[in-house]
Amino acid sequence: MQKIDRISGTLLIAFAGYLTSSSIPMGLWKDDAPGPGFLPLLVGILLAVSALIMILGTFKDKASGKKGVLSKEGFIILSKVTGATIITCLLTNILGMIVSIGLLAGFLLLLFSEQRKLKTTIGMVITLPVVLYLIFQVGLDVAFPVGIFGF
Amino acid sequence: MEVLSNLIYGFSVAITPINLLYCIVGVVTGTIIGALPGLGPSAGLAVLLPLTFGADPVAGIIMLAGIYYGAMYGGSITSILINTPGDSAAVMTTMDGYPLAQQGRAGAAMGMAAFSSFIGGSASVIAFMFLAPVLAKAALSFGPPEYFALMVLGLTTLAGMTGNSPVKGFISALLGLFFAIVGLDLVTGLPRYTYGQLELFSGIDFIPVAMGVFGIAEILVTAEKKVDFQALKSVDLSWRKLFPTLKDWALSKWAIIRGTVVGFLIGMLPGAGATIASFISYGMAKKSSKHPEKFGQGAIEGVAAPETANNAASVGAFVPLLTLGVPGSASTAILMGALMMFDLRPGPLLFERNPDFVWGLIASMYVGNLVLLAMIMIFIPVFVRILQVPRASLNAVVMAFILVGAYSLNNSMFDVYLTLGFGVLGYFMKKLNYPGAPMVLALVLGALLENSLRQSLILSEGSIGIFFARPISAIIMVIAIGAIVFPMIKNLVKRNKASAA
Repeated sequence: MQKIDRISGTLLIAFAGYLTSSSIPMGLWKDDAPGPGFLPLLVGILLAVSALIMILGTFKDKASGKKGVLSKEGFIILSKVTGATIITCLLTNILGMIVSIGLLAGFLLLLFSEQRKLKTTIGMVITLPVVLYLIFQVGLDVAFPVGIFGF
Repeated sequence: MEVLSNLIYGFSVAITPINLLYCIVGVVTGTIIGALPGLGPSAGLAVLLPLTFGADPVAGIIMLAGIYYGAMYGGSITSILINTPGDSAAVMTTMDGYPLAQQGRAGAAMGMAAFSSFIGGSASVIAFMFLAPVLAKAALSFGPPEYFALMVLGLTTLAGMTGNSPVKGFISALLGLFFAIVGLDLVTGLPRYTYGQLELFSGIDFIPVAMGVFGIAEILVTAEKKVDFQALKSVDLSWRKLFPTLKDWALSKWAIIRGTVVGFLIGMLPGAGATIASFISYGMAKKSSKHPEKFGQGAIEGVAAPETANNAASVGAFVPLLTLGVPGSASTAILMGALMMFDLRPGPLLFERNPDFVWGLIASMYVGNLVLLAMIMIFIPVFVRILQVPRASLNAVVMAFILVGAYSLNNSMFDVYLTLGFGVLGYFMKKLNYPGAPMVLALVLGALLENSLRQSLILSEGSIGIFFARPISAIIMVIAIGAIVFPMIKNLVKRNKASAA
């Protein structure tokens, strides 16, 4: 955790530097009042100070340095879920939102399940879009992107 | 007398069939979501918020309030049955709830949790009803410096109290403030951090952030964990077994009374909330018990104390939200965002301008608590059966709901990408122990905070002394600074002690 905290702290300081420098051209003080850059500057400074305190703290705290928090398994799940969601969003214009979301739910079910049951997955792919359609499109009047199937 | 007539008026609003339906839907879905490990009230509110789009404001908020206290109770179901709290406020319930279930008294523990939640919730509504209008009247004299101080207090206390590291809480709050800055500056119209994206000109809505940080991130994190729901299959939850015995009531009565008072008072404090209330209430019940050694082994009052307190705290949290317009937790921040979505501005004027909403909500709290109790007593075996549905299926359904909900916000795929982005950010925040609640609260309060800061500095011609020159804002600012300094000193002392050992 110490190493990760130092890395995240350094990234936060870099981000705080960006916030601070980008706030100045926005105008810190205009017409006797704080300008649009005033709060970003304040946030940037406070963020840099907080991140610095966190980094310094890692040098004092020796107890919590052993446990790894980011696992390979976690990264695989994260990338699969993120990738599948992005593909779903891209497919929306072709298949329509309801169908795409149904396919995504089926994929996620296969991904999260320990025992892969095809029947349950097919059931989910068919019923979930129907439920979502009834709640959002019929009940709440949300207009979803329509695909080649006409819904 | 005025309170009574207002309450009667509130009931006439709350018990209309449509509002009652929204209340029931909120309580039921909230209980189910709250029972899922990892998904607490904040996630429940964020995921189910899209269901209120297009609803009448009163009905929408009644449903969200139902989700809030339904989720608060739902957390106790898995705490008692499989030793896995649904959310942090239900952690203390596992201490005695699970041992009771192992002794074959799961029904009594679930029943006590339901009754004590009902008593804590209902008694707190009475306190809320008398206290809130008085506080709202007092808050009418507040100016921009007082509001700025209150918002700073809300952020610093929440940041300092959530998670293991106060400094990470503050970083989370500062990131939330940054996200609140994104969009057109309200005074000059200058785009800030929009990078040419037209969708960002109106700012980042709190809904994609809350759904990402509390919904998607939780799904991703819990997908790595294996939760065993097999034990649920052997639980006997027949109707008769849900009623605690007279002995159980005798043992728990003081824990319930203390839990109500402690829960309501702590719930009102920004940052503290239901989790701390349940910890304190449990500690008090153990200390004042004639048999403290039984706590942790299956003491029924060990279930009653935290459950009363966390439901009382959820009502207490409405006091600063509705009277001052300053939420003190992630859940109430989402509720505040929802209020603003419905064009209702929380604060002292809400009581004057929207009495139908305020008193309808108060009356719905009574109705909601009653509905919650009835639903639990009648449908608890159904809730338990729902939990037996494989976690993978529930995660897939929740994920689909989040994405469709994100799209429905503005009928825009941009919000879906934004939600996914915040889900990934929330995942890393969870993994690196940065609490998500301060970020969401800061995002909701950001625009108001910047506005009061600007107005205050205009009034004082640029001097920050204005925050310390007025008595109320000075007191609040001192407490807010204390909320930053105190956890840091406490952490430093703890570290020094650890390194000395």
